Amino acid sequence: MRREAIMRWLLPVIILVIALAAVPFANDYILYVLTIAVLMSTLAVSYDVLLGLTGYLSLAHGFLYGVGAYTAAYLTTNSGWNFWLAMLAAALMSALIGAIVALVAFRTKGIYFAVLTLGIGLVGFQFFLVLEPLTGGVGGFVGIPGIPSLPGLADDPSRNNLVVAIVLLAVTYFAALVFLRSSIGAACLAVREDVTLAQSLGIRVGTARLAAFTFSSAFAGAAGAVFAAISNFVGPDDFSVMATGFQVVVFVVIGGMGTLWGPILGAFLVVCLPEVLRGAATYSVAIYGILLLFFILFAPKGIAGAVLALRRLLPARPASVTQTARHSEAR
Amino acid sequence: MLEIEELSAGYDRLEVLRGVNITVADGGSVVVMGANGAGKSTLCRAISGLIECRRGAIRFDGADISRVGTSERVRRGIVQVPEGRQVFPQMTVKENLRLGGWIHGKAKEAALREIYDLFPRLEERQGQNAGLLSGGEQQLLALGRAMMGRPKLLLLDEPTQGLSPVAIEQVAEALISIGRRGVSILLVEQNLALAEAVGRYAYVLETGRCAAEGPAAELLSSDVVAASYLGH
Repeated sequence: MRREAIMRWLLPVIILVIALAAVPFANDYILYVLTIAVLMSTLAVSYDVLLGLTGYLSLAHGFLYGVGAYTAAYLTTNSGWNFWLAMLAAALMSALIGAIVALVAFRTKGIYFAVLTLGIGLVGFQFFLVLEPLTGGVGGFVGIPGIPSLPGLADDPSRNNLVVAIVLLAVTYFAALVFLRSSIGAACLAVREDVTLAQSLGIRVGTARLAAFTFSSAFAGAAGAVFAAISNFVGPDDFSVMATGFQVVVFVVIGGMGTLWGPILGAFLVVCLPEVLRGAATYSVAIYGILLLFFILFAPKGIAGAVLALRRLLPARPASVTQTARHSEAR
Repeated sequence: MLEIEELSAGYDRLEVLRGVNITVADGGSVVVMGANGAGKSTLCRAISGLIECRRGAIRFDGADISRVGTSERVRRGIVQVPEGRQVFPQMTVKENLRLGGWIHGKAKEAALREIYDLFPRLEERQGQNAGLLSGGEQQLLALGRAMMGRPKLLLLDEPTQGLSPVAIEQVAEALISIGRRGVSILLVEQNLALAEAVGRYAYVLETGRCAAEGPAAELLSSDVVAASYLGH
């Protein structure tokens, strides 16, 4: 198995085990920070399917996350829907809106795509502000019911939220892996590498990109639904381009584009660092900035790239008897 | 199988092909030669649908495909091997091959087996990144990948460009072997030796028009080719 494939499976399992092991011991504050970090990881993984697989930088992902959050908030609060059904509806709504955005945005490429999605993100933000009957407008949407309790966690909403967030991350991650390994995922990679060559093989470029965008939007919507239920409140500022739109790009770039597991580390680092640096609050923004500069200048492939490079520095193991035999047979 | 009538195509305001007529019979092997800028690559792109057909008609298996998209043309059996050993360098040999069969759904192991039988070298290298293969191996991979698309007509755009004489021989052998399997071939080539080895019928393109045509053995040794292609 190749190094990257090992990391793709091993690292999420390690994170999952650590997060679950921390559940019984952490206080409510730590549990909340961990929950948000896991939720942002879900958003980052969903975004990596788009950025990593197509190479297109969308700044509308925060808006699609918001569509999911508001959809779930409205359905659970005003229509009395069950949270799980509302989450599914939120994912579908974000996927639908995402598909429409993709159909418009993929008419452009490069910097124009980024600027166009920036515009969509800004317009979406305005919609959240002005559609007051649906979104609560400037004041936001209040009184959103929490996540229903899982068996054994009825008296502990903080732990309940964390476990649900972890399950959503696991589902998103494995769905992304399946997508990546599917024929449509392979088509996305081919299109990213060489559009003309991909076309000459009969790959439908538009369909591949649309599929990646829609998939990515659906899981952003599901993450939004969980965020709404955890916070019991959502406001437009949570989904602005300047906040979530850019932040999710940072998660993926710092973590390592196209690896799926790297963005999880990126999200954890970005979410948890300010909490760790609370003692040096004056310098925390500067430290954050320096960290960004460090990654762009010295580790452009992100944490994942650095980890893989370190693994390559380790001395190679001598070939096993089985491997040697296999090579001899091949010859 | 393929009938091109009065085909005109180009880029933006530039009309590269001007009324080209070419026919490839079922199981036939046709070579198109010509100097640089004659429109050979544009012809390949127009047939595969990568650029629009402005005037004229392209018929394949009796149906007019002039307005049909690239993907549908591949599905119908027109598969192109683009100019310049194009492979996906970051993907393994096997992943490259699987992409060749993308249009027909998930590639079956049996389809891969056939390609490995045709090109045993690719089986040895199946786990290796395509970018690490030699030039000749990359070209064989491009051919194998095209064969995964189950072509009825294989379009080859200068497959020997930049290859060593040994690698050219390998490509020639591979093309002859593919031809024996009943696949029609339209080869755009500047290498006379390969053109003579593979082609049964030949066309010479000159500034976007067919300047000459005839049986490959006669035409490629004639003065027409020497004058328009070799420049003397």
